[in-house]
Amino acid sequence: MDNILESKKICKSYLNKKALRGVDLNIIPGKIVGLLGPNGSGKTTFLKIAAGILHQSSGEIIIDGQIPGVYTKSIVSYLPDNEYLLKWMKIKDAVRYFKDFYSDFDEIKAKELLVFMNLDENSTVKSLSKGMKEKLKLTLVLSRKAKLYILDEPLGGVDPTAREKILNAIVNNFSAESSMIITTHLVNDIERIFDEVAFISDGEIVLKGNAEELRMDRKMSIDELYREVFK
Amino acid sequence: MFKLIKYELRATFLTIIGICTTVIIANLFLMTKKNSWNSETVIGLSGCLIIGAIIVIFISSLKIMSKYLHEDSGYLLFTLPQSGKSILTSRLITALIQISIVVLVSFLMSYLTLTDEISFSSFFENIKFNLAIYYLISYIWMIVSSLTIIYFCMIMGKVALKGKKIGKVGTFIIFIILSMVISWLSFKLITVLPQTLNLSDFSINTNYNALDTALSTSSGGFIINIAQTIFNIIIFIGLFISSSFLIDRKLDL
Amino acid sequence: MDIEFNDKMPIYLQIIDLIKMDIVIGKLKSKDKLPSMREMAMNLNVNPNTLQRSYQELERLGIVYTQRGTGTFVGEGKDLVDDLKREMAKEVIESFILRMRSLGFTNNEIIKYVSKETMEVKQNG
Repeated sequence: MDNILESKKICKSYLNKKALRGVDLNIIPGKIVGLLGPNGSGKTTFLKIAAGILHQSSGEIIIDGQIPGVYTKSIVSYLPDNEYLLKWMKIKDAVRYFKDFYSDFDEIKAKELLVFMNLDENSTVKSLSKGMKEKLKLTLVLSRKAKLYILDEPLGGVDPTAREKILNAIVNNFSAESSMIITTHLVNDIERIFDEVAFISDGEIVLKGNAEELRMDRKMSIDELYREVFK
Repeated sequence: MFKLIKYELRATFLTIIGICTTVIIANLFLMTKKNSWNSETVIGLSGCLIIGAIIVIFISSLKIMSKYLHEDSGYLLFTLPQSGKSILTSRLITALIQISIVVLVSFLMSYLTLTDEISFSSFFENIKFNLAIYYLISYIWMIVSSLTIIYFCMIMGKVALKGKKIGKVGTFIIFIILSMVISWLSFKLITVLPQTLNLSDFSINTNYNALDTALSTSSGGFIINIAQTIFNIIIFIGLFISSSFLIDRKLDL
Repeated sequence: MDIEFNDKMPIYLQIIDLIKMDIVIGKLKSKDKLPSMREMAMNLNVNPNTLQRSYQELERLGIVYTQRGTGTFVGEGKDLVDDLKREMAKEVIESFILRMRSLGFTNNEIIKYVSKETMEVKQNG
């Protein structure tokens, strides 16, 4: 099966640091991959490169057979770890926006998800709490029928009940034709969703494998494994 | 692309309304004072309003691009499946629309303030069609080309010098250097190739006159320097394509 | 459904145990349709691929069978429930015996304690 994402020796250097030192990661369709590591390990940098808003210093990254550009942006649904929604919009404006620009956007699904997340489409983005903003961002991102979903800390700053809903929405969104790459440091809550995990430290992948196999081999949860790898 | 224009106009809706309202109210105020104050004062203030409004909206156009490049909202824009060309074109067209609205409202209000007339017949009688087209094109050209140069500098600043604060100072420096280079080349070009084109009768003139500016109008006729105009057009296209390229391939958020 | 999974063990194995349990206690009877993999994944907040692995393994063990397009169903064997019951009991007893031995009890002591405690341990309502 062809990889949806293929990265070979991706490096990214800044003036004073090397954010990525050669990341090799391949993802086939139908998988949910966890990219796990502490702050500053390079997770967000890698995701931004896959999303096309950052460019690598060296190395190759191919998404669905193409380098990051207009095409890949149309099949990649990216959830960044910041407040990127336009503040003048109401929720229904944001839905319209996504519908206008993404041909794979499913408005019906978006409306269902909004109900599921208890969001009122007439509220303004400005008036939402942090947790509600996260839920809205996720709603918009998951309502697209993308080939690759890139979620950067989807559970960040969200209370436990909201986390359940978010996890549920992610699981429900799963399809055999698309894949997801999710970063988080709340490994405990989310580890059951991962097919595969890759541990990234200081810009390099130090361990990767199938989640269930790692559990069997190491006789510990992915959360415990995380602690061990990064102690 | 048109969707981008639609959303940008909606986003800056309040700004435009704000500027226009201010201009309208200020002009109404002037109208009431027309008879009590010096006519020169009234004309002067009215003129200031126009200039002020244009400056505000122009700076607003720059701020929008700055926000895209340096703030989180850029993530939303640059993850859209839109090419750099498309983003840039829609930004220029939107800016043109926004500036034009403000310009129209400002001029209209000043006209009303100064003449008290609501008829435009005298205005339209004196307009020669060619002249109007020429002014229109010059106007569009001025806005679009100056914005393109500044946007190029902003994008280049962001690409070359990662940090935000450094980026803005860098932008300014790049702009100064670029402007000087372009002006210098432009001047050299006029001295080397002084052929001018008279747009009223399409005659070509080879008189070298150091006092001629690139675009000048002189009683009924208007003359442009061919080489310089072509040069300006090429620079504009070059900067536009470079900016699009930078957005697509080099922009790091 | 808020099942407490032990993340130290492969989840697909724990799901298999859950289903076996349901069959043994009669919650799932022969020819009953199992919830779809997707549905179960949603309920448990677990990766659907994991469910697939569980269902495939159950099928390999002969406990369930799949009908294309219709779903997965509990097997029909008459002895199915009994076999499962015995198998699960064996697992429980084996680990119990090992633990008791590690506490220092001899086999006779273990049997004596079990007889005594079965009288005393309260029935789960």
